[in-house]
This record gives sequence, structure tokens and C-alpha cells, in this order.
Amino acid sequence: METIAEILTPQENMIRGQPDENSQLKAGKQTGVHSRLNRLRETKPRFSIERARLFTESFRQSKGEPQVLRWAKALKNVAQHLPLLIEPDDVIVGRGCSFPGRWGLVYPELEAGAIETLAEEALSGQTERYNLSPEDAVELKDQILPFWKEDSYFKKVMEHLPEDTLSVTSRNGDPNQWSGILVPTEATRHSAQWVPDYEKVLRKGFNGLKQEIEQRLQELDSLNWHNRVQKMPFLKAMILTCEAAIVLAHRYAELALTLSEKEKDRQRAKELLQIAEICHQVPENPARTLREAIQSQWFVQLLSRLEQKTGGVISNGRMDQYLYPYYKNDLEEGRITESEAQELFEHLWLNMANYVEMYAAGTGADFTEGYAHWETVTIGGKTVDGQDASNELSHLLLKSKREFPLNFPDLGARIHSQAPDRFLYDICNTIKQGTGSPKLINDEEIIPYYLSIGADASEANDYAVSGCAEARLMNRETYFRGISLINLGAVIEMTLNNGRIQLFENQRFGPETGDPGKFESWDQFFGAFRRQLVNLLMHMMTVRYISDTLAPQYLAAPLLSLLNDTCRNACMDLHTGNVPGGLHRSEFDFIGYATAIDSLLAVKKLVFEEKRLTMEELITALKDNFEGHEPIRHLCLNAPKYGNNDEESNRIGQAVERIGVEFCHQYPLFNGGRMHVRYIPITSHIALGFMVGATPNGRKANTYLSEGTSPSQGANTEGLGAVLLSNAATKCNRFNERSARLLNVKLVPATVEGDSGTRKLMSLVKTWMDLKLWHIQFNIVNQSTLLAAKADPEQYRDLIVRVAGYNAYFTDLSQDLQDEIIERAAYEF
Amino acid sequence: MKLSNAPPMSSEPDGLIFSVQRMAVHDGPGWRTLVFLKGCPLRCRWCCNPESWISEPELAFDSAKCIGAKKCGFCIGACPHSAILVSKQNGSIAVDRNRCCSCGECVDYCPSNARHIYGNRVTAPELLEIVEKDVMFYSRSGGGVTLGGGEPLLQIDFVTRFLDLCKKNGLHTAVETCGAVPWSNLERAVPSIDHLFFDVKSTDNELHKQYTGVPNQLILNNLQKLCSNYPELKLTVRIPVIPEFNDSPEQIKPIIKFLRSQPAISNIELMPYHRFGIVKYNTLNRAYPMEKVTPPSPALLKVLREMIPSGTRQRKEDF
Repeated sequence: METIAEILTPQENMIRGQPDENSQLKAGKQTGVHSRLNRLRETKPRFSIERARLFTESFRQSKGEPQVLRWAKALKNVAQHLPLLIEPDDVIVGRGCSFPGRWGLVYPELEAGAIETLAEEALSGQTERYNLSPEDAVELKDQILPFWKEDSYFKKVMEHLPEDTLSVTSRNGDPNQWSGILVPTEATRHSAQWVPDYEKVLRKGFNGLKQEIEQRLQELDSLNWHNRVQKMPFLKAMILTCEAAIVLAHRYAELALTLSEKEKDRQRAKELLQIAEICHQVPENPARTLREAIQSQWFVQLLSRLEQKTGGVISNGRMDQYLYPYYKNDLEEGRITESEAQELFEHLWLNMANYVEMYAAGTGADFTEGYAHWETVTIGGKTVDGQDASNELSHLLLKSKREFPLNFPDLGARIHSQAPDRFLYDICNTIKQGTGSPKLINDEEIIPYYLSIGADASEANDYAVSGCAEARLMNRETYFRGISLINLGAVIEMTLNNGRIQLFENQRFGPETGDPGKFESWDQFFGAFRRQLVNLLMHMMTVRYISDTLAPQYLAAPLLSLLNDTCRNACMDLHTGNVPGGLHRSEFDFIGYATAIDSLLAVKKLVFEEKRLTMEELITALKDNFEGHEPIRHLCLNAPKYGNNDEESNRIGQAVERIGVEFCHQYPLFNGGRMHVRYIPITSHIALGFMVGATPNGRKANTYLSEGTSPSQGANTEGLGAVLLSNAATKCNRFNERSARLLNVKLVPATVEGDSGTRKLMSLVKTWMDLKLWHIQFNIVNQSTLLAAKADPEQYRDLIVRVAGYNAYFTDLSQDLQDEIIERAAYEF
Repeated sequence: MKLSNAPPMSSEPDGLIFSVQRMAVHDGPGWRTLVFLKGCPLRCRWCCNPESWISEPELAFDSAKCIGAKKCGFCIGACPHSAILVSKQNGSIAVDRNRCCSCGECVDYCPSNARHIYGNRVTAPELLEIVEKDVMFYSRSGGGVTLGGGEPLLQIDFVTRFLDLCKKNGLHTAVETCGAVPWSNLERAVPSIDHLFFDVKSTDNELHKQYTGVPNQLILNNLQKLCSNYPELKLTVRIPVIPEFNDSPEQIKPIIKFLRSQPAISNIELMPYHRFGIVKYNTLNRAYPMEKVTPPSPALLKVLREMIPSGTRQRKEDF
């Protein structure tokens, strides 16, 4: 393949200190929102225990009451007493702690045990990624955690797991030592992710919502026991939640007023007065201007973080839709200019970036390197009526992504067959900046998906991007637990090792499927693989049932339930899991998809078809990590690989997916919904690779697995087109139970240079859309930049790359992940 | 490469191809699938595809990939012609080109893909199946198939059959030719070609012979006939810019002058010399004839490009 001269992206130019004239990235600007940006990463993120303290205080006093009511009371207690802070250059106010800088929260109701470990680490000074003050650590240990210790959700789920399931998810029966074979993250989050209906708050205000709820409460037949035990406590909780939102905003209004009186800078004093006025208006009342709408939206997000841990995923929803009327109106009435509007958004982005999702347990952090959190903003897509929805605000949000070098929030553009070229052109030019945004989500795949599982057209057309690459119907879908990860690399190892894992002293984690040396045919081998995988799927569903059914006793989400029509109408909390009228589904992840396909393919070709190796030779080489078996490793490396669009690997890929979807089709969730297979590794493919021995695709022991639905690192020889075609060909479309497929693509900047480069990218995007692939995202970066950044992190601290469904600063990532990103194929065309 | 399982029809002519490159963008509109055909009447000293010259399959050996006889050495036993040379010192392996007849027996025994046979026989329907894998990319970009080489029009029975099949199945076709083929070959192929790329290297016959091994008369005559007989054909003329050979305004000027007299030419492109093919010379154990040459400078290319009449100057935005 021809090598093209290196062309730098605008991001690379900026970082290397040579911003070209056309560059739209404003580096080093020191005013307003830019000074906030420059301060952002000055200090390590710090855990706040204030929410935990106030939350626990309330829970101590509400024993025996319905869970949703307890939660609402606790939320209101937090809103009433959380110490507040307005920083000197805040414009959109509200943070969940009283100190400046990046902040995170601990949720003792979820994982008291892990937080205790965290507190101990802090006391012994072992914290690298975050700060937790010694006083706070002591208070956590002595005051807060004892209350939750026996009752935290994680502990309860682990206690209820059958012994055989626990022996697969963990090592030596210790629930805190995850095996990495089946990883039940269900137990460490309140829910996987959510998109609240912000528009409802903007239009009605919490006061309007509260009045509706009060009306319903009055109309309830109070002699009906069912109302008394379920609906009345729920509705009361909704009222308390509305009050919590209002009181928190009012307290900010008062603080702004006080600060304004003391402020010497007259302009800032005026600004603080304005903040006070706005916080009096929203979110209590309907928003009247874009600024009020943005402030109101941020209060909802803030409260949601104070309410529960959604795995860092509280998405922004279809921002270019619900904010557009306010923007348009402000523009028409001359209240705001385009650039003022853009700056308001950038303040909001910084508020999101200042909140950091931190995992108390180390494993969580391994899976979400670079402080991943997802507040995905959705742009484009279709209107409820199925017409193109892109508008001027969609373009403004793209412009902000080009001009404001910050990785939060993630931007997701919905693409459909009638998306206008001007929208695609703007998107592709934004992607070409090289900072990885926006990711693209395919309406032509996702709308039919939702229709097939029972959504109405109006709902399906209106889905929002959520999290990495997922989608949500915010008023129809109900509860969504955290995700189990299934390590396909480990499944390969167990198939070859009669259910055992070499690294764990050859302990057995799967069924004894027999000595592969005695297998007579490929079908027999694949049958063993299937049995290993199905066994994990069965344990995965077991974990899911237990965490689903325990959730309503230990968790609640009054705010998110209030802002979901299905829950509000049924008067049932989101965590109930079987809300009538809801669209129930859930997901789990296959990790190491290409690693598994390539390994299966190597066994099929080398051992059973071409007979170039015996099974014993292969297994011996794997056990020795290929040391002393170099020809065998080369044979394995050079066997056919997934991602080159050959029929054989496509067939095996589809067969692997089929095992998952068929199982999910056959065995529904307890609420009648179905589990769906997805492929979103975040960064777990690194950590989960560490416990997997050498695999028949030539991968060495204890190294990373393949990522998402991308080919194994270094396996693609047929170019990007073949990657997309393989991806499409491995989908098992005969069942509905398949959802997000994450696809990362790294491009050489020179390949999309200039206007013709943009058009190439547009054509690529359209073909991706035609192929009905769920998701795609691009890293447009030179290999030399990544290598230089690894060697000189200080100089390259601002380099943003796409990791999985999110962006992160490259230098915040571990060495292993940096290497993996470097080794991903860089495509040219 | 997966081929059709259908039994070959007896009347179906074979073609010899050596590479298929997908998602190419420089050889016709949109995304292209580039099929390289083996065999060429020219031996241009700057050629970047030395594996294309001979009209027979050929063994390439990449010593960088080979792990050596000490660890491996499977090829030694596999070779029926004793054409594998092993260094006594370090076990490194080489090909004895005097003995090797490119039978390819060794290829399947090499675990590290160091051995490769350039040259694959396919029928036109089989090749259609191979290129049609990419149709999803053609329809969005206005792309299609481009035949290059080597000289595709040497295998004229196979090529016309294949191009006809493409047209019957709605694919856009392009062909890259050096022009040094019998006029009848062009006449047979052109009706099924949507876009023809035709190389003109020099108007100086002696220089042409010296650097390509053949005179230029046939080439220039063919071009003239194409222009007068097929005025509707979309025709791009490519001029390679080769140091020592034609990299000066004095050399390019007469070429442009000649081309200006042919009004049917829609585009003229310069193809600057590059050195990406060197590695392939090594794998074929051939000496690279232009070892000491450096590619033309951007400044020179700019000057030369400005000599092209603006109406036929290739726009960069060909996508």
C-alpha cells in the first residue's frame, strides 16, 4: 500500500503549537469559559462525601417506609442541606459538592464494602487517580459506612447468588475478587444509563409537575389498599422530588444574591444578580429563554447524579430538538447571538466535565479508563413524524465541538437516509478535526430495531442516543440494569482446556466439555465452545434475575421515575422492573468478539481442515505461550481473520452471535422483556485480556482482547470496506435480540484531506448507513502523534482520542490502553 | 481469495491476476476495486509493480517475514526442485532463482506468509464475484471496477469477457493501459469501458526505448485512433514524471503539444515518480534500476502541472 505524506489534523496542529490559519480550535484563550477550561485538569478529581452524609442521615430516620419515599426524602435532605459553591466564573450554576475542581461522589447504598477499601487506601495515601481527604475517609469509615455495611445492594446481590454462579463470577468464593470471565457490573450501579425527559421540566417546571401529581393524589380512591401501599407513596415521593429541585435552585439563588452584594467587580455583581433571578425562575417554573432552559436542564442532571449512580451515564437527550424553540425565539427577539449561545453551551459542557464518574472498586476503573462518563448529546435524526430533524442548533452544537477542545460531553449524530448533505458535510468536517466527535448512530438500524420489539413509530423515531452507543426511548422504556460482560477470550480458553483457566491454577470455571485432543470434528469443537458459552449465559441470566428482583427493595429513583411517562402513569418506580405499559429489554456485552472468531477459525482451518497442526501441538504451544513454538505462532497469526470479509469468518462470527441471541430469545427476563447482545467494551477488553492465556489466533497470554466489533489489532489486510462488510455480514438478523455494535475506525489524516476528503468520508458514512451498522466512530490521528504522546505526555496532555464510545485525553489512559490504540489498524483509502 | 464453486465452463477464458485492491480512489470515480492483471510489454525502469511483468505465476519471498531454518525450515522439505538456499551461518533462507520454477509448493508450508505466488488464474464470472463484494461502496460513490496491471489489454479475451459481464451487471468500468497493444485489442475492449486511462511517457522515441524497452510509435498511433474513432469515450491521459527521463518542461512540452492536437482527451494527469515498489523488487530478487533517484519536487510538479491546458487539467476533487 502506498504511503501518503503526513498531514496534520487541526487538533494535532494545535498541540504541536502550530495552529494553522484555518484552524478553528481556539487554543490558549484566557477569558470566561476558556479560563474555566484551562483550569479543568489542574487537580486530581476529588470524592465528595457530602451527598453520602446527608443521604444516610435521612435514611436513618425513614426505616420501614416504602423505598421510593425514603429515596425522595433523602434526595430532598441533600437538596436542602448540601453546602453550595459558586465559582468566580460560573455562569450555569450547580455542583454536587462544596469544593472547587473536578468532583465525584460515593454511593454507600450501592457498594459500601468497596468504599471502605477506598477510604482505607486514602488513609494510607495510596490514591493515584483521585483525592479523598483523610477527614472524609474517617467519617466514611466511622459514621456513614456502618449504616450500609450489611445492606448495600452489592452485598445483597452477592449474598443471593447461587454458589455455582458465584464460583464463575468470582475467585475463591470471594465476591470482591472478580474472575473476569463473567463480570456482573449489575451490582455496582443503580442502573446502566438513562435519559430523563428534560423537555417536561423546561415546559412545565417542577411546580407544574408537582401540581399535576397533587391533583392525581387527590383523585385517588384512598379506600383502595393498592393505592395506599403503592400509588400514594410513589406520588408523595414525586412531590418531594419536585420540592427538592425547587429548594436546591432557590438556595443557589440566595447564594448568588449574597455573593452579588459582596462582589466588587460590577459586571460580575450584575451577572450574579442575573443568576439569582434565573434560579428563582427555573427549574420551578417553565423556562422562558435559552439560558433559563440550559440552567434548568443542568439542575435536572445535577439532581440525577445526587439521586443515583447510573454508571456515569445521564445523557443529554435530543438537545437540538428540545432546546431549539428557546434558541430560535431568543435569536428572533434579539436576546442572544449565536456566539453567546455557544458560550452558554460551553459552560454547560464544563459543568459536565467537572463531574467525574469514579469507581470505588478498582475493577470499575479498569473498565472505564480516562474517567469515562457519558452525557451524550444527540443531534439530528428524525422528528416524531419521521422527517429530517436537523436544524441550526444541530449545526451550532457541531461548531462548538470543533471550536471548544473538550472531550465532554460526547456528541452523537443520528444519521438517516434523508439526512441532508449539508448536515453530513458539517459532521464530516467536525470528525476531521481529529478529536473523535461526533460518533454516528444509525437510524436505519435502530428505528426498525425498536419497531420490532414493540415501540410505536412515534416513539422509535424519537429515540435518544445514550451512553456509549446505545439508544433509549425515554418515556417508554423502563428499567435498565447494569451490564454483564462475557469474556469470549475466556470461553475459548475453557473450550481448549476442558473448562479450566490456566492463570487461575487451572481451576474449573466452566463445564467439562471434554479433552479437545479427542474431538473428531470441527462441529464437535464448536459444540464444546457453545456449551461453554451457554453456561456463562445461564449464569449471566441468573445474576440478572437476582439483581432485578432485589433492586426494588434496595434502590429507587424518584426523579428519573417522575420524568418517565410510563413510570409516572403507573405510579411505579423505575427499579420495579415490570412497570405495566413499559418496553422491557436489557443488554449484556460480548467482549473479545474478533479474538473468539479468529481463534475458532484458526482451529477449524489449521487443525480440522488443512490438518497442519494436531490439537495437541496447538494446545501445547498455547500452554507455553508459544515460547519455543514460533512456527505455530506464525501459522496462527497468518490464519484467516475476521474483518476481511471472507465468507468463512463471517459465518463463524454470525454463529457466535447466534448463540447469544438465540439464548436470549428462548429465555426471557423475569418481566417478559428480553436480554439483547451488544458489543461495547468501554476499556474492559484490556483488563479482561489479562486473565486469558494464549489464544489460537496467535495472541499471547495476558494481553488485550479485540475491541468492540473491530478486527483483532493487526488482523485486517483487506482495508476498511472489508471491515464494514464483515461487520454487516456477522449480524444474526433472524432474531430481534441484538443491539449495539461498537465500531472504532482509525483513519490516517491524509486520507481525508481537503474537500474531496470530506466527500469521501460522507460517502463512507452513507455506505455505513446502507449496511445498517449500528454505530461508527473515527479516530483521525497520525501514528507519529500517538507515539510522541506516549513518550512525552506533558507536551501532549491535551490530545483527545476516541477510546470506545467515548473520548478521553490520551495521556490519562494506561500504557496498555495507549498501546492498544496505537496498534489498532490505521486505514487509508 | 474465495472463488466460485461452480465448475469452470470449458469456453470460459482464464485471466491471470496478481492482486485485488479495494476502496481505491485515484483510478476512476468513487470507490474503486482495482484488479491487477499480470503481464506487460513494457519494462519501465521506474515500474512500481515488478510482479506484473511476466505473464506467468511467480514466487515472491519476503525475507523480513521468514523466521529462518533454525526455528522453522518447513519449506526446505516442501520444495520439489531444491531451490531453497540455507545459510550455514545463521539458518537464514533465500531462493535459488536458477532452480525455482514458481510452482508454489512451498507456499502452503510457510507458517509466516513469507512466501507468496503472484498470479492467480480466474475466469471472468469468478472475478465478477470477487469485485461484487464491494458493490455497496460503488452505489453510494459512483465507483466501480478498474483493471490495471501489468497491461490488462494483453489478456484481451478474458478482459472483454469480464468487461462485458460488468456492463451487463450494471458496474462502472475503467481500464488503465500503457497503450502498447494491437489496435484490435483496444477496439474490442473500448465499447465496454466507461473510463480509459492511457499512459503517454515520452514523444522522444529513442528515450522511450531506452527507459521502457519499446518504441512509442504504436502507443501514439493508438491514442490518435482512439481519439478520432471514439470521440465520446471518457479518456484520461497520464504522464509519469520520471527523474532523468522526462522531468523537465522541455520533455513535457512536446507531450502536451501532441495531446493538445487530440481534442477528445478529457483529462491529463501527471503521475509523479515514487519509490513504493522497491520492497517488491527485493522479494523477487530483482535489482531496482533507479536506486539513486529522488522523487520530483513539489515546485517542479507545480510548474509542469501549469503546462497542462486548464480545460483538461485534472481537478483534485475527483470524488
